[in-house]
Amino acid sequence: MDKAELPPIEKLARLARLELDPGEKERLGTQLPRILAYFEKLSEVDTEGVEASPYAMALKDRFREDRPADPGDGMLRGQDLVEQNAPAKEDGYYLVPPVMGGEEA
Amino acid sequence: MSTDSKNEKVRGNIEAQDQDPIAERYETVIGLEVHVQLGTRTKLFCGCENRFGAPPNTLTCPICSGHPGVLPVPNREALRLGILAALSLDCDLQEHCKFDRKHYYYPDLPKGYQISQFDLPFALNGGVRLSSGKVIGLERIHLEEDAGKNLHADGHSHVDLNRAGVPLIEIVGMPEIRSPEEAHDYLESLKRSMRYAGVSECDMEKGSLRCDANISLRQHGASEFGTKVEIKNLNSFKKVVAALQYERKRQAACLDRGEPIHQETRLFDDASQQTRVMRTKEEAMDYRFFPEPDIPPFEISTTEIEALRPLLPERHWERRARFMQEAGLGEYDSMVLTLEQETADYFEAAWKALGPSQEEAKLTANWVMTEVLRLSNEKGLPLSKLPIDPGTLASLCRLIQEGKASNQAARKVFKHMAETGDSPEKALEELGLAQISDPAELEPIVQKVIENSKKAVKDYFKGKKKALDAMKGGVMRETRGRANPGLVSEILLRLLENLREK
Ligand SMILES: [Zn+2]
Repeated sequence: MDKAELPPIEKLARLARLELDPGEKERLGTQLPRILAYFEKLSEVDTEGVEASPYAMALKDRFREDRPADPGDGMLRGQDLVEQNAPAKEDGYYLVPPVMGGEEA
Repeated sequence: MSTDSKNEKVRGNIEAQDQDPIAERYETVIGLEVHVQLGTRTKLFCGCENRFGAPPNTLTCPICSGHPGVLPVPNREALRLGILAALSLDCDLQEHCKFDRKHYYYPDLPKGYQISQFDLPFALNGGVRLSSGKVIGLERIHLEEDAGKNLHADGHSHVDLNRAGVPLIEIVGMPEIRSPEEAHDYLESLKRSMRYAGVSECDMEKGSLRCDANISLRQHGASEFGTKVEIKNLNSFKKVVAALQYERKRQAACLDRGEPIHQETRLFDDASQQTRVMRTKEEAMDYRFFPEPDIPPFEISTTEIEALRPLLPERHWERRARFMQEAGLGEYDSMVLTLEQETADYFEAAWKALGPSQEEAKLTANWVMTEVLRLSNEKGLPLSKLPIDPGTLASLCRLIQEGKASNQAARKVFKHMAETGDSPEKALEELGLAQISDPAELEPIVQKVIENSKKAVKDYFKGKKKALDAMKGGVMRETRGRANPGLVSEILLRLLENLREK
């Protein structure tokens, strides 16, 4: 995909629900085509005879212990997530457009 | 609903089925998919607490809320509980397993996909044993994360993600169930297995056990299955039975009229006790499964399996059979005593403390099934937290055996002990209920009653047996019911015979 095929930065921002100021639009507008160009490089690699794998690394059996996370680890949690991220909220719930006839599981 | 009335109900249904005209025309084919929440401390892929009933969205983090750039890491305890569940159902644990993404769009699934297992589930085969001894085969068990909850209200939906990411196992049964009543039996047995294995509370009211049902009808002897309908939204065993009974009638009526059955998903509506279409086959979902690239594959080793196997208790159906054989208990009593492992443990501990005989087992079983379970219900306490432990119950039963307390007195003693925590002996003393089993103490009382019952004595010598009961009643009144009835008869007869000889 070359630069001409990229949708306008305004459209991408809207799809990603990001608000960009003019400076950010300018910066991302030049960076995005370069990022895409990196991926172009991948297609130059000869993968003939290499088996497809969904995993990037040859790891296995990665588990964690059943311990609650440390509340002081700096991660945003609980109601703070709702407060800081939800476009609409009510009584501690995320508010979304009506969903009817769905599964009440 | 009490266990008794629940079982009465099921029995009633089974009897009703005997004169069921649908059963004469069609064979019912049912398969159940059961979701069981695992009782871990934390969620499947993050360190948020796995807990029911917290205020909305308080048990969440960027991982279970589906934020970009996070890394899910599976909880080892969830897999361990999953393995225990699978072992308790005789499944084959799989050496090579992986997680996959299952895509669908719904607000309670913030990532837009659920992390589940597609082609390499952790367990295959196995079965659920019905009370008849019939075993319903299982296809597979896999691990997956639960979704959040949607609450629909005036023009909007409210989303709570506390449940999102809670570990589940999905137990997929084969279509080998042949009636709604067998489905009920299957669920009871499965729930008991899960509770015995200690993997889940299986509390349907809290949603920790949920069930979807597939049902179709076919002509007897047909080798092909009929078109199946899936029923969702079944959040109690009663609803499963009601929905399957309704759907069975609906499908039979369709087939009778020569109409085809449509492959579709239906919802059970509690108010009307009917099912209605939720989505048709044309709208069937394509979940676009693919391997979860963020979680490396995992293996279950024989060593791990063999280390877990000894942790499983005796299975509920084995224990039930043993109670019938060793303890000589009836089928119903054995079933009630093994509904919960805790009840079975309590009964067995009290029985062992009292003595080895079947008579002692029956005495203990009666007390556990009546007074002990009632007390547990009244106090809302598990048996392990009751003020009367199995050893104390055995001491009380011994007082009955030794004739120191009548059954009636023992029930009063039991209530007193439940309030005060006293020993049975002390409670008996305190309530003044100790049975008088000392002949030296009883004889003067009997003597006095005979002296005051001139007419009854005369009647007795005339051969009126009833007169004896009147005198016995007199002794009971004198002793406020504490006299040992057997001993009273014995002394009464002896003294009367002495009188006759004079
Ligand atoms: Zn979380």
